[in-house]
This record gives sequence, C-alpha cells and structure tokens, in this order.
Amino acid sequence: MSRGSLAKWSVKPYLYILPMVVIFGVFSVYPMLRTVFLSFMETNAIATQMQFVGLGNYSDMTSDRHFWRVVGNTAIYGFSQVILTLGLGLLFAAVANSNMVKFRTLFRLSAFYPYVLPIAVAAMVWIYLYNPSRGAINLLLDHRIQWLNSYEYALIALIIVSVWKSLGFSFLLILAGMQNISKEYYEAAALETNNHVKRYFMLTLPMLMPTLFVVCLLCVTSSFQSMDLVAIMTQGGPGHSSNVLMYYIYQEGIINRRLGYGSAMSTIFLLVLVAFTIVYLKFGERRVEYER
Amino acid sequence: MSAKATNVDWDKSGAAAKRKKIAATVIVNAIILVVSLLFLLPLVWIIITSMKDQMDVLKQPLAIIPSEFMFVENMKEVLRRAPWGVFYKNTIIVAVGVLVAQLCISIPAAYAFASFKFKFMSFFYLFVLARLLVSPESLLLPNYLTINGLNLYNTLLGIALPSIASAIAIIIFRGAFLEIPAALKDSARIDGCGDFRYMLVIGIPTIKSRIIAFSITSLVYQWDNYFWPMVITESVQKRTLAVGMAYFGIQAESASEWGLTMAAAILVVLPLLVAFVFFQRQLVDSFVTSGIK
Amino acid sequence: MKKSSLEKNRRFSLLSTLLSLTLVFLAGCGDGNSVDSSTKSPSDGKAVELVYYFPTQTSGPLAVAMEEIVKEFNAANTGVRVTATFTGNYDETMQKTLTAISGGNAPNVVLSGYSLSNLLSIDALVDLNTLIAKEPKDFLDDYIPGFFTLFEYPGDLLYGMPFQHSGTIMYYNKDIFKAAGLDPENPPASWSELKAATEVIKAHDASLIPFEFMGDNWMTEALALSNGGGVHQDMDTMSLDNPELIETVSFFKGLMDSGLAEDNTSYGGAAENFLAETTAIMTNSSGSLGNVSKTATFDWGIAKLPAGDGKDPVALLGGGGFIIIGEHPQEKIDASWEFVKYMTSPEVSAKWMLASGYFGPRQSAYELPEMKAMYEEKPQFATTLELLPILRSPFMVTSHFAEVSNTFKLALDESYLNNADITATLQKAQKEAQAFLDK
Repeated sequence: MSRGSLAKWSVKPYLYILPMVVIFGVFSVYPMLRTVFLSFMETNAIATQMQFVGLGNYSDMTSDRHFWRVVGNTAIYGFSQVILTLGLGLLFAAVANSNMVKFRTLFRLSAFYPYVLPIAVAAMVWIYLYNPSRGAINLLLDHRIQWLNSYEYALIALIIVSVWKSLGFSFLLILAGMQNISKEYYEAAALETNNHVKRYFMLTLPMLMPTLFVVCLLCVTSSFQSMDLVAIMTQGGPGHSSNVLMYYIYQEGIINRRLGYGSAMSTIFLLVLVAFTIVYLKFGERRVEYER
Repeated sequence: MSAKATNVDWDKSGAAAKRKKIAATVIVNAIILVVSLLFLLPLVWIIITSMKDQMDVLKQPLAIIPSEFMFVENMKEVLRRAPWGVFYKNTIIVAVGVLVAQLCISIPAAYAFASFKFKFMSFFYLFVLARLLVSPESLLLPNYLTINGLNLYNTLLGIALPSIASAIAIIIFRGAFLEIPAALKDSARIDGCGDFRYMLVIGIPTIKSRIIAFSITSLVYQWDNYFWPMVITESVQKRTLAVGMAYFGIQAESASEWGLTMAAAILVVLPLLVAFVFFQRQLVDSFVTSGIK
Repeated sequence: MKKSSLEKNRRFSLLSTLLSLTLVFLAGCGDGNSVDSSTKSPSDGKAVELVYYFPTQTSGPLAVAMEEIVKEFNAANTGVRVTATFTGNYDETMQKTLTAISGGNAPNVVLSGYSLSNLLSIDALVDLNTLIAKEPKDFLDDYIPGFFTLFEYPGDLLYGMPFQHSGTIMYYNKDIFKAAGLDPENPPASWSELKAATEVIKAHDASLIPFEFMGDNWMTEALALSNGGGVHQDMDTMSLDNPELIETVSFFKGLMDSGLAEDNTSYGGAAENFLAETTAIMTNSSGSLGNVSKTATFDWGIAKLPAGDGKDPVALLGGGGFIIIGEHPQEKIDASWEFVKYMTSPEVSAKWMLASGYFGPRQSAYELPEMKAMYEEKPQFATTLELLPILRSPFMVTSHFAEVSNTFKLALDESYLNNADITATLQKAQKEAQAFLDK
C-alpha cells in the first residue's frame, strides 16, 4: 500500500474530496439530519407549520400494529431475497463456469437481462403474468391462484419478481469472482478429488467468501430499501400483507402527510441499517481476512 | 483443461463411467435449458404480446402466433400518444451527465482516500459509508425540498443532482487504487510525476476495467430509475423514459391495452438489450478483471 | 471462427440499434401530442400561464382526448395559456398537488377526486361560491344539482366544480345469459335473484366467474345503501357496525365462499375480465362504459345494482371535478375560473361524456344532437340516465377523512380476503374510525 509522503499539512487532499463532500453533505447528510429533526415534530400537510412532540411519534410507532406487520414483512422480504439471490447466484455461477454446460451464453443472457429491464416494465409484465384468469403463471400451473390479490401470496409474488430481477447482477459478480480463482488452486484440488461437487465445497466456496461478503452486503442494503415493485404492483395490499417498511413510510409520510411520523420511522430504519452494517463489517473483517 | 486430463487418468471402468458422464451432461443441460426458458418467459411474452391485437390478448393469452400481426399498428399508436423522442433525449442526457459527473467526483475522492493521509479522513469516509446505507429514495422528501429550494424543480439537472456522488464508485475505486503496487508509484515520483498527473496518466488507465464495470451499472440504473424522476418532474418535456413508460402503462392498463403497453416496453428497452447482447462479453470480462473485493 | 460470429454480432446489433434510433427520431420529429408545442399564438407576453393537473381514473386513452380539449381552449383563448399535465390517478394527482404546493410550485387547476381534506387543512382551495357570485343570476340553472354535493361543505362553501361523474352499476353479459338459459332482458334485481343467477351460470360453465365485485369502500357503501343501510350517520359519526352493512359484507363473502363470486380490487381489471368473457356479471363504475362499449365483442347490458331483498337499489355517486388552488394572484385565479367554465360548458361536457362514458354536469348537454345520437347507437349509455334519480353522495366526514377511509378499507380487506370474522372486524373498525373523528 502506497501512501503519498506529503508535507505535514496540505490543502491538496481536501481539494480532491471537496466536490464529494459537498454533494454528499447536501444530498445525504443534511437530509438525514433533517429527517431526524422532523421525527420529533408533528407537521401540517405541507410541513410549513410544525410542533414539537418529543418522542410522541416513536411511541405511536410502537403501538402501531401495521408498523410491526410491515417490519415483519420487510424482514421476510429482505432475507428471502438475499438467501435466494446468493444461493441461486452461486448455483448459476457454478453452472455457467462449468465445462459440462453447452448453453452457456443463452443461460447467461437469460439470467442477466432482467437486471437491465426498467422496473416499471418488469412490474407491468409480471402483473399480467400473475393475472388469475389469463396470466401465464396460472395457466402453466393449471391452478387458479390469486397472486396479487390474496393475503397469502402477494408477498411471495413480489419476492419472486424481485429475485428474478436482481439475480443476474449477483450472479455476474459471483461468476467474476469464480473466474478470478487462480488455475493453480484448481489443479491442486484436482489432484485431491475427482468429484466436482466436493471440489466446489472445498475450494470454490471458501475462496469466494470475499466476493460473497460484498454481494451479500449490497443485496441486503438494497433489498431493504426497495419499494418500486410494491408501489407499482400491490401498493402494499391487500391490507398491508405485501407492504414493506420503505413503502409504508412513503404511505404514512407522503400520502397521508404525517411527515413527522414518517421521519420517525425513517430514523429508526436508518439506525437499524447502520447497526447492521457495522456489525456485519466488523464480523466479516475477522472471518474473511485470510487472503492478504 | 488439466481437470479433464485427470478425469481420464482416474477412470477405472472406461465405458460405463463414460455413459454415466454423458447422462449427467444431458440431464444438467436439459435443466439449464428449462431454467433459461423460464427466465426468458417474460421477455418472450413482451415480444409476442406487442404483436397482438387487444382482443387477441384477452381471448388467447397463451397463443404464440398472433391472429393478426399488429406490431406496426401498435407501435404507431404508441408513438402517437407520447413524445418518446423527448423521453429518450432526456434519459440519455441524464444518464450520461450523471455518469460523467460521478466519475469526475469519485475518482479524485477515491484517489485521495487511497493515497493521502489527512486529518478527518475517517470522518469523511464515514460520509461515504452513510451514503451507501441510505439511497436517494429514502430521502425523497428532504431532497425534494432541497432541489426545489435551488429552483431546480422540473429540470433535468434536478433529476441528476442527488445522484452525482456515488458511494459505491468511491469504495470500488479506492480499493482499486490501493492495489496498485507501491513500486509503480515510487518510480513515477522519482521521475518527477506529481500526484494529479499520476492519477490521470497512470492511475486511471490502470483501473480502467473497474471504471467500465461501474459505468455500466450507473447507466443502467439511471436509465431505469422511476421514483425520483417521477417526483421531481412534472411536465411532459422533462419526462424520462422510465416515467413516461410508467404513465403510459397506467393509462393503457386501465383500458387493457396490453399490446400497446408491451410495444412501448420494447421501445424503451431495446437499446439496452441490444447493447447488452453486444457488450456482454466485455461486461463479464470487465467484472472479472476488476476482481471486485 | 469466433471472430466472424463476433462480426456478425456487431453488424446485427449495430443495425438494430440504428433501427431503434430511427424509430425514436421519427417519433421525436412527429408532434407526439405535446401540448406545449401548440402555441404559436401571438405571444404579446400578456398571456396568463396556467398549470393544470389531470388524472385518468377508469378508462384508458382519455389523456389524449383531454390534451386535445385543452389545445382547443388555448387556440380559442389567446389571453390564457394552459399547460395540461397528466399526473396518474386521483391519489397520485393529490400527492403531486400537495408536493407542488409545499415546494411553491402549486398548479392552478386540478381535476380532483372528492377527497379534499388534505388540501382543506392547509387552506389551499378557492371557495368557488365567491367566483359564482360574480356570474349572472342564472349561472347555475343548467347544472345538475346533485353532483355539487360531492364538493359542498358546511357554511355554504363549494370547493369543486363538477365535471366527470359516475355511478355504481352492474354490467352483465347477455350472450352468456342466453347460453345459460337466463333471460337477457331481465338481469337480477335482488340478492336472491343474483344468487340464483350465479348458480345457474356456474352450473352452465364452471370455468366462468359468475359475479365479480369490488370489495372497496365505494362499491361496498353502494351495496350497503342498496340494502337499506349505509356506512355513516352524519358528518361526525361513522356507523361501520350497523347490521345492514354487516349483512351486506356477509352476503357477498358468502357468494365468494361458494365459488360464485370474486372480489377484484381493480376496476380496470374486472372490466378486463368482463371483456375477456371470463366474468359474466360485474359491478363497476359507469365510467367504464366508454372502455367496455368500445371493446366488447358480445351482447351486453347494464342495470342498477342488485338490492337487498325487499329494498330499493341505490347508485353511489363518484367522480371528480375542478378545484382551483388559491395561492396565486387574482389574475390567475380569474383565468383559472374561465378555464373551468369552458371545461364545464355543454359542448365540452358532451365531448367528454362521449369519450368517457362519465356523466357531465350540464343538463343541456344531454339534449345535444351528438348525445342523442350516441344514446340511439349505444342503448347502454341511455340506460345510465335511469341512475340519475337514485344517485346518492358517498360518505363524507368533517375531519380525518383519509384515516377513516383507510380503516374502513382495511376492515373490508380483512373480511373479504382474509376470512376474518366480519362482525368483529367491522365493530373494531367502527371504534377506530370513530376515535379519529372524536379527536
């Protein structure tokens, strides 16, 4: 690692980071502070008048059964997405990397293209595919499931679309990680065992840890914050059964104009994310540090 | 490769094992094929439906061959109903503009974090991590008020501004800069190369593949981004593709005009798909050589 | 070998990219219906600029029709220039309006639904009675009085001008009726008749959905009213647990459980099922008439909603009208009023009625030759006139309308879609809703 040897104090590094600091400050840090500030207020519909209510919004939150429902949904949504994306990503990458498979390019294309589709297009297509009477899904399954209009299936329907859409990107990252594993390791492993599967678990998986680590983090943070699908496909319905925290905040904060309440939920959400990331990074640093 | 050679060496019972291997290959390939087709289902459905007339969609949803080939009529109607050329122009301006700004801002910042030691460095790096955790969507209302306060409501600049600092870019590029061997840097300094020049002439080309990988993700994100542009723009002249598509879909869907909606979808997505098919080798390569860690 | 396929790849992708770009430029060169480009009018700089937000709620390509109407206004009124912006559905339009107001970018005129409590809480609306007062004495004579109830508030305040209105009705597929042995000219008028008809249809073809309804606030209130009940007592008191309402929800849930009915939360979705002939009877808004009549390939009719046995049917009023945002100089408010008067004139009203199937606010519009011709050509539209006498206003409360509505909607979702105990759920909802009102 090379560090420049500079005079004791110099303006130079600050110049390099100045634009970044300004933009981040204005569009990330300041809004976050403002959100925290608003969380202690109750406002009128357009935030021109506000009144200090201390922890009032936070106590409302704890007694709001919809909030807890939504938190549960978000956890389910986030974790299923991460597990499925990672699991399937690993599987797909292994397949795409193996010599046995003939349709490699087709496979890569079909797994990755959903990532490129605009979310509005993806949502609309799936809305139709999920149509109980005429959608391809029910017709293929030969069973009439009320996908987007039932308490049982709405969240699952969203998870399916979300995984379909984001799988390609993780899959690509993992594949890249795999192809980065030096051939020598493979040759050494080949001397130990003939079994592809065994080799995978002994060699590939452990060496992918750093990549997986990053992919997992990106996956978790982005899935917990995603709400486009909910907004377009179900609006959280029926009855909050497919609602996630981010969209609930949007509903309460912007649609119902309870800006203080929405800010309180955002603040809690932010704290949880920060805590999670810190723990994750600390934990990961210890476990993954073997390459360097 | 060498693995194959080892296989044959270990092969004790010749023909039987070979047959097993062929069977395994066939099965695996069949599964792969099925999975690929399942994943492609939505895309296939988009294409087929865009060629169908409305009644066709309603009455024969699974039909692969449309009873009447309506693609051209559908497309004509789609083009008639909204100024897609304007949407394209706006989207391209925003996507490219954001990318250029992102690179101009994050590369120097990443270089600074990698190469200098300065007071409050960790503090500022915290800014970056904070940004990673909180997407612009989560900060919708405060950012709206800020952009509006700058008088940028309903402008392309207003759409672009919050996105031009990218935390991911800084993290990735910093990692890349850190990997450049110290020897290279030292020898450049001996030759009298200053920091800035070093960054431009040596640093950037060295991390080129990571820049490309990032650029692709950034462009795709801006092309497809819906929520923020929807909130911050109002007039048709400032609309982007994603928002135009969504609005078009809302209107068409309520009248069940799926053929039109899917034709519009193709209009919006075609350049991306084409670019993807064309560049997919380079895409994978850039991710591979970047060795994202 | 690899190289040449790469070459082919490149050529193909280049061609397709060129093709798509060409398409795009053709589109860009074409007018593409941008209202902004419509004004090569003498810009003496004096033209008052107005911003007008509009949604489309039930039927599809009305946005195009709306933009054309606005274009004509601009052409005929060189002193005023209106920019029309499509803003989603009623809810999204309200969102955009509030956000714009909070940012200082308030629009001038908005075509809005009747849920105005958010805007009223920030005193954003102009009381239209003050503008009407400046008009000649007989100004309101030609307007149908019933529609104003959606926008009237205590203290002789009027916040919206009626424009597009709908009533709850029932659509039915005459062809399926005939095939199943039911009389196509005699649709079910009572709940028992409805139940009987759905059973016949189910027996005739098990793959059909005999009856599709919406389990949302509006339609449920309509069905409850048609059962002699309702959802509220007065503007300060809800009554979500009254026996007639419970009876209504239970009855239709019962139909669902017997496989004779389905709850569809989307009006457009149900219309689509109806048009695809997978649903035989549906409740819906008369605003879907335009869409259905344009697309249906079969014989169909409309009728009043079925009433509880021995009760009288009611059609619940819905729709939207024009509101004027007050935070503007008087000159703009006056110009906005000119625009609103134009939009609610008999000619424009008739044009919109023809395009959409909504009710317009002007009585004389119904007498215009083009309307009479349409009634001849499309008898179903003529049937809607029978609704006018039985139209009732949906419930309105003095405060917390959104919270009360949400509570009601959740209770309905739980009842219809989550097998909750209907009586208990509605009683709980009543307590919660009333708590909001008693604050």
